Amino acid sequence: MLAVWLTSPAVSPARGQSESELHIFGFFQNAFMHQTGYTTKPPFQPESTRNSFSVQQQHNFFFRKDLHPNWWAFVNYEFLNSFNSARRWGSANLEEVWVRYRANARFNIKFGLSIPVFNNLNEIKNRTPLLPYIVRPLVYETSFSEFIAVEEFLPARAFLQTYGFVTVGATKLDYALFLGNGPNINSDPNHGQTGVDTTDSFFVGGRIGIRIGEWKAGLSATCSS
Amino acid sequence: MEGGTIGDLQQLTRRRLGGDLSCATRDWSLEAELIDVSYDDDTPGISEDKRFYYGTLGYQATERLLLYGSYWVTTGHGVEQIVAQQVSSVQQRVEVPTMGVSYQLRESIMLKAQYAPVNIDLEVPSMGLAETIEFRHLSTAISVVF
Repeated sequence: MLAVWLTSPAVSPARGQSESELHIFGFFQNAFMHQTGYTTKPPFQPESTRNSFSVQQQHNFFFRKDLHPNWWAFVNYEFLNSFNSARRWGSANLEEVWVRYRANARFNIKFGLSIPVFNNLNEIKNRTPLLPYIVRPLVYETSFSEFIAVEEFLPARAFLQTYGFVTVGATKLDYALFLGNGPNINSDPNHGQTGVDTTDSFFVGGRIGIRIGEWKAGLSATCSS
Repeated sequence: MEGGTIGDLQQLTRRRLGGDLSCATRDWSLEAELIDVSYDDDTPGISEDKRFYYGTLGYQATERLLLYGSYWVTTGHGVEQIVAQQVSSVQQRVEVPTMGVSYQLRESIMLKAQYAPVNIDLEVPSMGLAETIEFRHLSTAISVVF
């Protein structure tokens, strides 16, 4: 039940209803971290130990509204690393803002900011209650973004994404295609509007996969120029 | 590249190639991924290419208790301005074997613990510089759905 709730906000309005009420839900992960035995070779500094409590990554708020049996809107807002703007700790990120049209299992399309389907973990990397890890596999650990260029490894934002699967006997064939901005995003308010692509380039990508019984495999690719 | 300038990654064509494999039975689960990042950079001796892979084996000991072991590696090349007016190629490798447990206390509350010895190797071949950083990481957490 938990997995269904978190991976696909699937509580649909009863047939005949055009809109449902606004659903607000989310999760958080509070952690205690102890680091010991920090050494460098050659020894630039003495061995050190440290502890810290933190609201480690997430605190995610989700807002969902079913606009129509085939349409729903979704917003995902994320706070990282004990976010506190006064102390300049952590960050607040708008992770997802999309409206989805679902024709059937074979065809779905999201318009707006979404997390691209890439490999197995990218879509669900911030669904911490679903994952056994506290610290996720390195490039999926968004709380490390302050010192690991996680966005070099993973596509973070798509603005148009279509996906679905086709059933062939006992096999399911998955596909996903997405489109987003090139990497030249303006981050300097002194040079105009921030958060927009300053070029005419795009980023494209996708995943094809196969599911047979208990096995799942896929190939993903992106290209941005 | 000696005497040159730091290339702007945003100006280069970047390609990512990924592969994933997973399997889940009643008691055991396996997940593995590979991500390869390459840039179209024609500068001799300079590369920004990176690679990441991981594998996790999980065992559902009881209905609520999951044990797992995982192994993560990132390797990467980059450029850094080590001394003024000069950039150098930097190679980095981060290796993390890790193990942990998660316990579903309630449907919406999960308790977790994780241990990881971390090893980071940094090298600047052109300058004969090398550094290894090691530390051990232990964490506990509560994850809540509301």
